[in-house]
Amino acid sequence: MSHDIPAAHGDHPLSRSNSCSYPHTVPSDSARSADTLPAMKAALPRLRTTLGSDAAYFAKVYAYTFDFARAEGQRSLATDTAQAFWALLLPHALAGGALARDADGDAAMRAGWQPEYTGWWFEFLAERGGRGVSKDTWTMFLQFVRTIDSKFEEYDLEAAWPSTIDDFVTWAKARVDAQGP
Amino acid sequence: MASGMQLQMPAASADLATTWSFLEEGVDHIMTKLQTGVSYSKYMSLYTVAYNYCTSSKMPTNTTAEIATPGRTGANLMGSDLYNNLIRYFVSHLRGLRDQSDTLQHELLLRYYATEWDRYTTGANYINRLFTYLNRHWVKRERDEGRKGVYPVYTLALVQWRMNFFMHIQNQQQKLAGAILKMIEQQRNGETVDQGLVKKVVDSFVSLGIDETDINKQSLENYKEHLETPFLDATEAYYKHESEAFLAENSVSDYLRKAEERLREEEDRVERYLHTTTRKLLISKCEHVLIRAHAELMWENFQQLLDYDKDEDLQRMYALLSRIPEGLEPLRKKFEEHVKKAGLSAVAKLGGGDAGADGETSVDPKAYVDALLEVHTKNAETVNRSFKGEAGFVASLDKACREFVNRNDATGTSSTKSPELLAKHADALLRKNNKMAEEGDLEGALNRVMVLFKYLEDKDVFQTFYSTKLSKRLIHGVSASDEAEASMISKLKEACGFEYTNKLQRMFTDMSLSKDLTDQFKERMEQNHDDMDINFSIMVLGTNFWPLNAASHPFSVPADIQQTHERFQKYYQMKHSGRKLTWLWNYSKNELRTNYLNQKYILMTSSYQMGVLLQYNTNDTLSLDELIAATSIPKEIILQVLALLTKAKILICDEKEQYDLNPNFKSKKIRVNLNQPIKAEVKAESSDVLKTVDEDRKYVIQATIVRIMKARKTMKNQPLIQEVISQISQRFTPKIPDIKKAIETLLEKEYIERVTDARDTFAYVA
Repeated sequence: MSHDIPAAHGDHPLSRSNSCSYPHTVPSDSARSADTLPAMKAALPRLRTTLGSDAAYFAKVYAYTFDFARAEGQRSLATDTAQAFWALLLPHALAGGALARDADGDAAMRAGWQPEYTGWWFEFLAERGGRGVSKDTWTMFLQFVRTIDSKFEEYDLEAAWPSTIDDFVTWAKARVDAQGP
Repeated sequence: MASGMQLQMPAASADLATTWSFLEEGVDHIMTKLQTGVSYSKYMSLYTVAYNYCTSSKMPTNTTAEIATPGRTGANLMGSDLYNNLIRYFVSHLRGLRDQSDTLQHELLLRYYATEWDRYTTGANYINRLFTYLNRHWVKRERDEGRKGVYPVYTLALVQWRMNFFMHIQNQQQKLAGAILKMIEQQRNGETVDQGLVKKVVDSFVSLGIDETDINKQSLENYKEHLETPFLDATEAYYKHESEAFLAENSVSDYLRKAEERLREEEDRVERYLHTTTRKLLISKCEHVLIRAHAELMWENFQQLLDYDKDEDLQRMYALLSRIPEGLEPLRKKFEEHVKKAGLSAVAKLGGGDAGADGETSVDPKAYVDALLEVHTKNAETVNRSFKGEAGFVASLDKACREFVNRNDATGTSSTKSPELLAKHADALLRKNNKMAEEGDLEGALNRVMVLFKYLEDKDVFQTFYSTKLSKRLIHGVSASDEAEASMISKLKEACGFEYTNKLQRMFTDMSLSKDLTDQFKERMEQNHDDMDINFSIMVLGTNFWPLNAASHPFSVPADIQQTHERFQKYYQMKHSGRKLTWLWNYSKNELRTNYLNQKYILMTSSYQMGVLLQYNTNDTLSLDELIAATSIPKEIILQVLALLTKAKILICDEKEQYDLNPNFKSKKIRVNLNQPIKAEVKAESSDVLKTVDEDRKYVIQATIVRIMKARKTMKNQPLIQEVISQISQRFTPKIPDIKKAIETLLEKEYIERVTDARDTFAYVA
């Protein structure tokens, strides 16, 4: 099994040599204009805030992250690599509002993804073991976090979600039920 | 000329009074005593007088006060005076009939009416011809100019009859129609009535209908208003009462007979004496009262008729309920339920059901198939015989069969059990020493397999089991006949298409190629070597077509056959360079001749048994470890091999893990069959087959999605899933999670992609 997990070389993914080019390649006017070191330094906190609060910007960074983090020649992301990036991105965006629930009407009033669910997701992935995270799962997971209700009741098992997310919802629902109201 | 006043024929120029008194005497004669005869000359003179009057150019008299309308073209035509006199005559003539009829009722009234009707219409016919000239000119012109209430003389006679006589009787509580209805009721009660009389009177109701706008056309208004409507009302009341009373005292079965009879009678009634247009209304009224009103009761009773196989009653109930809308639907539903229950209980009766934890059931394939077939056959007969093979019932039968064939006590929750049992049954049929084959009914038995096959949901499971079984029959040479095999394959092909049987057919091709190959090899060896002490035959089977796997453990080719093994390998590589041969030792069999005993035996063995036994050419006793070393067969397998050999007393194991050749081996048979399957092999078979099926399904689903996406370019998730299900359900019922997994795999492999901004839509990646 190990051969299809992209090599993580034991390093923390963020320590890899190419991580310094990360903010540069993200399409952003403010980033592009910062070409001197002090300017970059000054731009960073601004970018940080934008990332946490601007849903569209966050989505771009999120989508880019998959290709950025993926080992060369691999189609999917190793689970631990994916987790590290999720751990980095999700809490920040949840706190900043970039992951505010994307729903219409009444649904928008009800609660969505809870911060502790990110931990559940990791637990679930660990329990499931094996396979890495496919690009589709990575991409759709953002969509999922932004649309799901806090009790996983509005989820449609027959909709076009990747089966990993289907399985997670079944798993998480059982946990919600076990916890009681 | 008969008695009566003899009048002189008036001159051509005679006045109206003279003319009419001459004509009136003649008209009255024709109307009242035609039976006494009218001479030709008398008739001619009457005709002439009427003609002369109409062609005379007198001005109309004051009495008629005919006013020339402006714009009237042509000459003034004579006739209105005559016409009015005729009316007066009919009126007074009919007044005479009225008085007579007032004292009559029921049948006597009808008789009187019918007799008078005959007489009157016959006379009126003559009178009509007498006034041909009047009809053709004066009447025609009046009508052409749009005057209402002017008719040719015969029609006039009818109009007058209706006004002055018919309506007179009808106005007395519809006495005339009432008399007819009374006779009909008497007939319904079983009395004999004069149907000719009824018919005559009814016909007069029709004849009296005159279409004011076109007198050549018949109007049924009179008939409908005065007879049909009250008749239908009476019918409804009669049958409502009768059916309720009858059902209170009789069974539904009796009622079915009764209702059928009644409907037939009413059909006849229309034929005998009613106007044909009444048929539709009458029958629908009867259907309503006799069937619709009691449909619930019939539906309730249906189950009982099914339970007791009351074929005739079922036929009747079907025929009756098929006459009313939605009448059959409840029957179809009940029938479906009935068949399903019958199927389930037939399987339950077999016992031994309840698939255990390992999915092994003890149900005998033949008993299972026979039980299913019996239910199908019996109910298919019911559909054909009792329900005339009606499509709705056929569908119910199919639906029920699909249900119990795939899910019953023997299958448990597994959808693969039924295909497995059916394939095993087919295998038993197609094997040598099957009695069915001897009885010559093999073909019939195979057709019956196909009957059930049609209902299988997981046809791919059947396919896999079937090909596994077929491969065994072919390898071991136990197929009953090539003809039967071919016949079965062509049946499967017909049912599921070329692709379904492609591999099966290829297996036969490989068999015949192998036979040729064996012969050629033998010939070549005879040319090149003279040390061929071994009889060798080979089957070279295409990996893709045969459900066979090489054993996962090694096997050292025994020295005795090593040479042949190598020679064939070389020979084959020479013939087909680049092809890889994998030796399936686990499927081959061998015959060994014994030389160490007084009696020479032939031992029929598996390759592993052979591998072990050949070691005893050089040793009389060997330890387990030595045997393992010599053959490379792993311990757990070789122990089973040895167990069989010691059980057959070829080898003796007196000491632990020490095996000696038995020098005193004895057998009643010269040919000793040692080749029995070892446990591990038997058990592996079913689970192997199912694993293969699962793998195949993944590819089938993926291939189907790609095919669909290639054709449609983009598709939403839901419709795509539906389309996949509908395309595949012919072979098996795909599960939605499996389809979703296949979609994911294809996303990953980039055969398809998600459409940006529409996450539930996929696009084909060219």
